[in-house]
Amino acid sequence: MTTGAQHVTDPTVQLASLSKWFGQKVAVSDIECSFGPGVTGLLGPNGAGKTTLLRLMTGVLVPSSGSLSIHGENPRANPDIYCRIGLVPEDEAVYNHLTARQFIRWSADLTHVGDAAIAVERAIRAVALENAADRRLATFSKGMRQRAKVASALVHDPDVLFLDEPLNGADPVQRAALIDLFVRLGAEGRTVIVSSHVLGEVERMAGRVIAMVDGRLAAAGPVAAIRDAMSDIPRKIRIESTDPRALATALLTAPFVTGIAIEANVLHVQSAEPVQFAYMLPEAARAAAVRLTRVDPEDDSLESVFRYLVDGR
Amino acid sequence: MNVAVIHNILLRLLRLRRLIGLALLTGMPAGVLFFLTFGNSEQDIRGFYEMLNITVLTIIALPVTALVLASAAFGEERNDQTLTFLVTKPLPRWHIALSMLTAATLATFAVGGIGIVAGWVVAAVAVGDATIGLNTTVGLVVASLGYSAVFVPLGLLVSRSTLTGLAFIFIWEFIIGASVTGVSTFSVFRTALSAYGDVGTVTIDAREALEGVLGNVIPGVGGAFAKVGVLLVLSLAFTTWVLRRRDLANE
Repeated sequence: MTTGAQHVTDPTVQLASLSKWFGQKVAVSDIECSFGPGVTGLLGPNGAGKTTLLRLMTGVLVPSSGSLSIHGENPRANPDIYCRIGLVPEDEAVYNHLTARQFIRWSADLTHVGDAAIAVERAIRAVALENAADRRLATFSKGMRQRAKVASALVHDPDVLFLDEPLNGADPVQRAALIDLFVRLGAEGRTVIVSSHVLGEVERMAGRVIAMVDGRLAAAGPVAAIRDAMSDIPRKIRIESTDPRALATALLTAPFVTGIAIEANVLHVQSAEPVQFAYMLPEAARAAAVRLTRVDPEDDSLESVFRYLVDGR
Repeated sequence: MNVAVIHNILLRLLRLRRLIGLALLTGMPAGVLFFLTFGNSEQDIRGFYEMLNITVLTIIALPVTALVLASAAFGEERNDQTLTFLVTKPLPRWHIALSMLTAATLATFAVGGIGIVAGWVVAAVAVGDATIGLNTTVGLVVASLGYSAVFVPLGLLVSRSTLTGLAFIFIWEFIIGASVTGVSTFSVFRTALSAYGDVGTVTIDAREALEGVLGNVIPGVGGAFAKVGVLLVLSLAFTTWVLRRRDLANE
């Protein structure tokens, strides 16, 4: 399903009926969407086609059909557009015989950065690699290599960033710092497209998600909006109260309620009309002489939405 | 052409262990010649030197050296997945192709040059002729250019490019080139030897060996450079086409 939100009003990256197949295998099928300023999470289980889509967008792969543009240009046809693009590939993709500083400097030179020395230092600081910048990349851990790749992608100050699983291998402190960095880059008005299968992290950095399943666009838009659009799946609501059994009895005959369960003194209600239910719930509680202590949506999280999209449950 | 790319690819190609291995390969004829200098006349030493250059250096050592280095130019980018880094930079694809061809040619010339200089020094000291290695050096230039033109795109196209390149050398260059009239004209080592045979004097024995290898290929420096020039243009065009039109990462 799509939500109609696969397009943004101010697109920097546009995909039109983009497909890619390898022999008989369809890796990406008829993707139609756009990306604009801010952080967009590209979500999907392994094999969903996220990396293939990023490789198509960055011109590493040739589309089997359809087209794409970044700032109105196809990168394959006009390599100059790469001055405005930063890519952190999922692959190791570093030159192990270089030091981190040399690698980032090389990236700066190839992207025609004016004051390369200053840009290199700024990029190294941005990923907190100051202490290891003069070590050869061959000696780096995976997390450090990821940070060197991020610095290399940022050194020319691009306004479109493609990040393929950029947090792989990073420790929790590094992850938090990188997430803050990506959020900041998005807030500065850059188009940041982050592919990840770690839903919690995407939820922290992305205001919008594009979910892919089996090479297709399964959903697009803000997480809550995607969930709202799943009108055929009842919403789950978690209710803590002074007397869950009494409240459950009161709700059994109430309209808008499609399912009730009690677990560990907590009431779990399913409703196909969550807004109406929200209005009705306080009245039902008052009628049953029950005090509500906490009411939370249970499946507004990205993980729940994603589970619905992938597994349909 | 991009100097930064050439510099980095050269650093990568000329790793110490590889450099030592290939220097030993190209230096082997010089080592053999060194032992042959004892107890032989100047004329014999000159003959040994030329025979070693024709049969070992140009036909075996230089093709293998060029294969290892030139196929690694793109091959290592593919294997280490760094090709993605290079092709997502604002470089025209033909700049990348030309930079790779240049780096591969320079690396082959440098490594092949180690063996040639070693042999040149040994022969020059033994026979007292400082110009004795000139024709081998010209042959090296032609071989470096020609083999780079063949093996650089091979490294981009084929994952097992070293094996494929060996098959090219032994099947196309040795077997088909020797047995099918007309094919020898397109053989790179014969082209290199045609330049070799046209520069300076060659002993009678070496001349016979050279003619045996060349077959119907007429010796000539100009023709040799023209041939590898055409080969390089074709190689550049093809490599650029692949970089523009083909997938540059695996599934």
